[in-house]
Amino acid sequence: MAPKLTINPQNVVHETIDGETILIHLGTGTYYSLDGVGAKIWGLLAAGASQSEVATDVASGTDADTAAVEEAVESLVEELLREELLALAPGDPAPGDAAPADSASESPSLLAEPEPAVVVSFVAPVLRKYTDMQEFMLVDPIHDVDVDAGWPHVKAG
Amino acid sequence: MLKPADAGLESFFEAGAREQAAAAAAAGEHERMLRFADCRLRLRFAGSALTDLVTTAFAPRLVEDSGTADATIGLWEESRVPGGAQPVSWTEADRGARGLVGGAEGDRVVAIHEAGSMALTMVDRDAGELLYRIPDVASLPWWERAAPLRAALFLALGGPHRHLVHAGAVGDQQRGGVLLAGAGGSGKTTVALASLEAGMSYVADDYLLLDTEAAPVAWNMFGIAKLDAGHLARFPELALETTISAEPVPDEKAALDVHRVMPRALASSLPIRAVLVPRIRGGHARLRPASAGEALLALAPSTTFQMPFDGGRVIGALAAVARAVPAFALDVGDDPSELAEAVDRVLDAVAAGREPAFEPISAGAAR
Repeated sequence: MAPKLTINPQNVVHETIDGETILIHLGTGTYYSLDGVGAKIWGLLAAGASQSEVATDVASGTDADTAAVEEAVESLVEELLREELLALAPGDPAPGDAAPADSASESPSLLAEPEPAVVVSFVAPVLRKYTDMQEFMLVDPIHDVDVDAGWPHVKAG
Repeated sequence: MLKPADAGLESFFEAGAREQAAAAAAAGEHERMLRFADCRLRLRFAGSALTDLVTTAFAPRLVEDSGTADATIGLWEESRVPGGAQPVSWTEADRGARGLVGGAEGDRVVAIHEAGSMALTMVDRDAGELLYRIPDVASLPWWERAAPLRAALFLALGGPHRHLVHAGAVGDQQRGGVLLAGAGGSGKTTVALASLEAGMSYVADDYLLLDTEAAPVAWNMFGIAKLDAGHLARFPELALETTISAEPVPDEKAALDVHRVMPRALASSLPIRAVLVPRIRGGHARLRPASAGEALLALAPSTTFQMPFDGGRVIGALAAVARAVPAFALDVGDDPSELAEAVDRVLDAVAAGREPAFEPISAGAAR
């Protein structure tokens, strides 16, 4: 029974452009990028594909064996869940099913008629993580607050 | 997120409007009109100190006060309120990212209570009215002095095709401009100042209004550039024109009033022909190809995290810009004159429909 996956709708915005996906987690101040097969996997997940459907789709276009692709997709999905970019959708798990996710631009058409495939070498996806802007999410620098009067009183001088 | 009703936001806004009126009655009311693209904002001040501060920052945008305004902002200092200002109706724990209180889809009133400056911005979306309250002008931090009202302008000017964006823009009216994309410290201001020194037009080094309805256009917002110690060393002639607080705090930047010092260089707007992603490298400046994804990676996170008040929807508009124009990375070298040459190369190449030269730029080749 594969769990339903959904994009974290409250906190994540994303765009895919020329095969690169940019993901921004509004709650943590962290942002991410995916390219290549990683961007393809994200696009399929955003379009509502289940993990197994994603693996099948990705495997069909590469020279890798299905088991290796399934393992890579599972690993990426776990990382996306851990980073709270994906969430398990509420409701009962459904086999090979997925909750509708918000739309992503340039999402690959999910399980559409297979295109004449160009088989490419499979490169395991890498989620690049950037934490240099987390400071923007700090609510209030402690040193700016008057410790006696408390928030929202600004320290004198 | 705190519900507006729980925070009493709507009644707090009404009380705030009365408070502003009381402060204006006591300290004197002043009105100014600003124009950003096709949007006119009327500012109603209480007292001359706040009027002078904001008017200086927005000097390029001042217009004759005639006709109707698209939105009105009431501004005052807590210290000017007879009997004292009302305390806020929320706690620190109620504040979300960047001080946002409320802000869910459909909320009529939204508040942004910013850290550090303690500037309080409120908007009544139905009425098109905004309020901006600060503790007092004397205690306002340097960054709010140089670029005040950012949250208010984000709320007042933002729309489906118009966005307040953390980016710079330079160029000229003949060829258009480049959008300078990147986080703080990436080199946006360095490239903007180098271009300014080389005689190009300046729209912004840090914040601008981006119109994406058709081909992207960058609109000037502020008349002041902010220079850190590195900029002051690199641009000694411009440094002579800067001002800084009498008792500057650590890391305080000096203010260069571009509108006052180089008024003809300040452009109201420039059509954007390319995205330029600077990065501090040293050595000689050098252009490199960049993907649209790299451009979006440089544009979207810093804008979204600094001004998350629309739930990050600006990413769609920024992606549209990244799709519409080519992107280049710029290794920022040690010689500022090479940076202006790099901007020139990009604008010339885009105008001619070709790639710019990617070999390192030597000072001798620079303008």
